[in-house]
Amino acid sequence: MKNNLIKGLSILAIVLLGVSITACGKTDSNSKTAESGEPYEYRSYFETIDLGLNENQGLSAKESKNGILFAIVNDVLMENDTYLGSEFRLHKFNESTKEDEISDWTIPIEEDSYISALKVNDDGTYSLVVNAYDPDTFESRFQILVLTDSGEEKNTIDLSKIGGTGDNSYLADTFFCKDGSIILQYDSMFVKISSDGSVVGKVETVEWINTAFLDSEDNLFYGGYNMETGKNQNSRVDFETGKCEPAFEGLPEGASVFGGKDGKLYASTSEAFYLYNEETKTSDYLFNWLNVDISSMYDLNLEIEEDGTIHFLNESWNEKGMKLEAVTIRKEKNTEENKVETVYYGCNYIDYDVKEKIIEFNKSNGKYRINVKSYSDLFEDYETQISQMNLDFTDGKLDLVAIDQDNRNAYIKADCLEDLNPYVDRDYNRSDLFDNVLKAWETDGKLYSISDSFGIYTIMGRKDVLKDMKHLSYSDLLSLRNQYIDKDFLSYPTKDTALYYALYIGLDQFVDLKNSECNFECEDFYNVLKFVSTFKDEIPSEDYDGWESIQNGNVIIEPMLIDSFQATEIYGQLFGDQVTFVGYPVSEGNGNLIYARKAFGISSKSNVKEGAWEFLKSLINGTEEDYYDGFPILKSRYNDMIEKEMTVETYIDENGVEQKQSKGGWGSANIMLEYYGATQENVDMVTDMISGATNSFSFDNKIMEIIIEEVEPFMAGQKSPEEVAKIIQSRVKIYLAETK
Amino acid sequence: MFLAPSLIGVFLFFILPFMVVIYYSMVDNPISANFVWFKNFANVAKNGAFKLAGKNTLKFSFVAMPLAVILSLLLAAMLDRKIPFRSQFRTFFLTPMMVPVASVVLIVQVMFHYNGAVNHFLSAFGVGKIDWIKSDYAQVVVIFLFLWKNLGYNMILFLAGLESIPKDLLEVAMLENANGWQIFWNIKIRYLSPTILFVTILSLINSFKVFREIYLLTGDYPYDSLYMLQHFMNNTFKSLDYQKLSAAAIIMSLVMIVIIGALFLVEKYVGKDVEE
Repeated sequence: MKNNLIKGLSILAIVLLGVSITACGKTDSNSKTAESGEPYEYRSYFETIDLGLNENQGLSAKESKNGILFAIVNDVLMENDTYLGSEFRLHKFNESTKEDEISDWTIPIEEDSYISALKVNDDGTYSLVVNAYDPDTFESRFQILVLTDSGEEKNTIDLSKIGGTGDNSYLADTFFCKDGSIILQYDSMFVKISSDGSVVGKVETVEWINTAFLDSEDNLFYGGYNMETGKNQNSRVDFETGKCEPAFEGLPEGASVFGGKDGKLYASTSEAFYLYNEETKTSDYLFNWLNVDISSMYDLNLEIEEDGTIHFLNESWNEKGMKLEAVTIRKEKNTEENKVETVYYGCNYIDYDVKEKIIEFNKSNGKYRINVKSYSDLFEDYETQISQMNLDFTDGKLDLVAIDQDNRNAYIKADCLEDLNPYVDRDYNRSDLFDNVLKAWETDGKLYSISDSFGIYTIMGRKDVLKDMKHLSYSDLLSLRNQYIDKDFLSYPTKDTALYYALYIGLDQFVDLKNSECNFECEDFYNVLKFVSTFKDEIPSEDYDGWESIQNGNVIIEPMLIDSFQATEIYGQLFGDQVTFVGYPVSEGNGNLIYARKAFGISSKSNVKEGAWEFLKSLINGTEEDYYDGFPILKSRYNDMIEKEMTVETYIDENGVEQKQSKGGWGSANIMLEYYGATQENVDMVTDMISGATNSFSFDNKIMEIIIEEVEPFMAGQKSPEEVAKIIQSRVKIYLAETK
Repeated sequence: MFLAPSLIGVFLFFILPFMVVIYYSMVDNPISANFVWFKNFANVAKNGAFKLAGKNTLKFSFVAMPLAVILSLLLAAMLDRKIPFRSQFRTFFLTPMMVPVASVVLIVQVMFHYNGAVNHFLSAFGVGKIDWIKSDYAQVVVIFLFLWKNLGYNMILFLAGLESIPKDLLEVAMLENANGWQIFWNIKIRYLSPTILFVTILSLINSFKVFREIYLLTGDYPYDSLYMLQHFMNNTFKSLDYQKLSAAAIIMSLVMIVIIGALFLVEKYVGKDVEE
């Protein structure tokens, strides 16, 4: 009796303990993320260094020494919009007094030359790396020019005979050692020369050199990529033996190592900063550069104090020109005064323009701050990056996430995404936005993700062939192909491209993701395979030019993504008067498919949804200086874009004749086309295309993978369309059944 | 007190995670965590992919497992006799255990690919090409792979079991003019019943592990007949559907408990007189 009682009580205790611990799966609505509970945060402080540069001036090279910033400034001389040449002068900017002393002499270099590096020598002279570029031969000739403080030439070292040939003829970087020697970095070779130019040592590397740095003792290290093994390797260069030894194992890819005055080693990539442990050969992640308001970090002149404070000079560019700032990064305790509400954004890649937007938001919004968690900084393996990001988002550790075709449906199913319709309705009039685009992005009436810009997938084609067609069905496709079997038909006429075009866009003809059903054993799919089989495995010849093929009338259709007026203008020029647009086979709308350029979703469990929405609003609203990456969802910005694109700029040429200024050139191997601006006809056509689009572009990567894998034997002529379709049907059916 | 470290370990690494799985199987999603009790189980039971996976797994287990037991027992019985090259045969059957899985899969791919060695051999006899891994023959390939990998180990277990049968009993039977079959069926099988149970359970567990080879051969979504329960669970994990995954895992473990319980009962009945 007693034993049974003890047994029963033990079991009850275990069950109660287990249930109470398992209840940790539910997150309290007031809980914060693990990171936001951290007592410290890295914060950056910027001090602008005003060199008084105008729009025609730029910074060529710089070095900070003893509180003075030495900078080589390139002054582009213009007269009546005519380029007259460039002058290079030395600036000495006192970082304490903020006074800038500009040399009254210019640096004596040839025309079409530029200065890529500057070294302030201990004897008061300056060593400059000069690249003299020959526009006729497209070759660069390097030299090291040593000047006195009064601008007189003290020495010149011609480097043209020192480098190698081919890839090793271009000087990628230069390192000045304390003993006066100079190390030259080429693509897969280092050469050490003395101050008089004589070669001291030469080391060829197995790897393609990505990054290189000198430590405080002038030891040279580099990180390279081995083309044969496909691996990255960090090595130390020994000029005495002429060999490279492995070094700094465990560094993130592309990282450079810095020694701090605190005796520790730090590693920096363009994206993140780490603490490197030489004993365990591991790199501990400290912060993402974006979280200290640095877009990307390429400066290798970091100074790290004893308390871990980091100093460096940061160059950034925007439409107004170049900005130079002295940056200090400190690890600070979170207090009530300096605390802001943090919005954690999860991704594994960030576009440059999103980075700039995050920095702009963080600097201007006093209430919220975007903290980026880039999983590519934390894990090397892509699958691990994605898995961890998904786990963190479903666990409520991220407030905002980058949405793509792969994760969107999974997040919706797990009920992780906030419906953004109430936010849109509260802060915008629907008529101010492309509402049809927003509706296309909805799922079951809810807007789970939003993008500030979009593109349109459509099919361009020859007007005389497509005539008044509104949609192109698969039977139309096959019939057209058979009719024009002697022509290339596509600009890149291979089986892979044909399959890609046919399925990538029109996959929803065979797959009903909503009802988890599919049907590949049908005439339309057999037509797709037959269509694909009419193309060759490879392009017709090595010098084949797809654009020439379009111009010669050999291309009948060209499926493409239209995300700018440039695209339609350029392709319109290629097709000539014979261009029209048709849509993909859909049940409603004009068949043009809306593609979200960069979609975001807000976590339904986030405590800072408003902060996340504020950031998304800043993307949607944009600024005047923004570069347009796709068509803006906000109509006022779309109209601004039209105004800018329709403005044709002109200049006066050497003969005094007014000429149109090109806004960009598009080219292939044999054709170069210039874009001068959008025409009203072009704008009306694109606007009609957008207004009539009601379907969003969506595809499932997994299904595409299965199809591409199974179609191979058919393409090799080993299986019939029916056999291939049967296997695809079986595999895709399982995939869809799982998600039901 | 002396059991405490083991109990703590078992609790932390087995019981507690299992309770977490039960919890996840009874909520709607990890975000809102509303209890839905057995709704997830009902959804999983109705799910077409789960039904297919369950059917394939059971079919494979109930074909491969008996074959693994019977064939290895016969091999052991054969090698228990004094035949020529006995130790060489033993080594030959044990060799597959030492080969890494990836190498085994590579060999199977080379042999059973649409353009592989087996089709090439069959074409010499006028037989058309068979897509072994992407057709209804796929389970035949996997059963062959499973038997090739596991027969050796099972055979060793049976050999050890045969060694432990009292020799005097066998001598008495021979003196009593019992034939080979009578000795085998009435004495050896009876004494081997615990070993048979052990080998059967081991083969059952190994039959679930065959997912590893199938995954390396065919990826996440194989042809119909190769889609197993672990594919279902692997894929639902990747698609963040933890509720479905947890419910499926619990259903699978309940089925396993029933099967193994039945095996124990059979062994208890068959081996009763041996123990006495």
